[in-house]
Amino acid sequence: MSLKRLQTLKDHILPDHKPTAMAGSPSPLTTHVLNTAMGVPGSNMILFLHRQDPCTNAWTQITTGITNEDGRCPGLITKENFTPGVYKLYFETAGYWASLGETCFYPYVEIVFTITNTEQKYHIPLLLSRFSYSTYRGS
Amino acid sequence: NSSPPLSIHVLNTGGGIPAIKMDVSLHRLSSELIIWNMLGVGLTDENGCCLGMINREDFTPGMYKVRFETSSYWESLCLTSIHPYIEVVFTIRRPEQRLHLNLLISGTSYYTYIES
Repeated sequence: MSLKRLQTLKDHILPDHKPTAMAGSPSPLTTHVLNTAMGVPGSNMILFLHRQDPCTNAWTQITTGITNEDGRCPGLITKENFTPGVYKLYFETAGYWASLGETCFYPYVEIVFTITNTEQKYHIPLLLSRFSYSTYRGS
Repeated sequence: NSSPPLSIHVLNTGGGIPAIKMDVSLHRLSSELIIWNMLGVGLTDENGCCLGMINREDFTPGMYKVRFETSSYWESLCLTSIHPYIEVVFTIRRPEQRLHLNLLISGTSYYTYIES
């Protein structure tokens, strides 16, 4: 199945993309995309934040967004909504590289992480090239 | 050429050692439905390597993922990790000669790269 077809089907299943506008205190969860192949921020990359239901294991979408010119996406989640659990960040890497006229080995990147202490800040960046990527927990 | 087309190598960078006895599995995205079909399972050996989850004839173009059961691995070392599992999704557009998928893990980070 082509990635375009997969995206079309996903659009039918998931809500329309709506950039979130979070007022108030900054999100306790942040991300930062860096294009390490070109030494630039990974800007204009679509991403989704999901949380897993602990009973059903189903994923619920919390936020959809797009990275800004710094490769960041403020307003991922509010402090009130940031409960302990398993989350995942989905990065639309194929679309990102296609917009640069390149292919990528990874059609998308999902980073699944466990949040235990919601008093802390969590920074989950993605450092990406066409044939590698890395992530770490920062604060 | 009967050598396996896909080899996996996992390193525990937190401990500076190969990641031994980690459960891994290989899946391919079905073209009819949006489901993942498991193709094979494996266990990393004393070098952190895993071969033979798929043979050359079956490694056709498509979207694949390797799932690493990192939670169980860290638990066996009485350690925790922020990542309950790691899945690396990749596209094969033409049959590669040989693909090495490398994963370097610590309790708070991971890095993956492909050699072909």
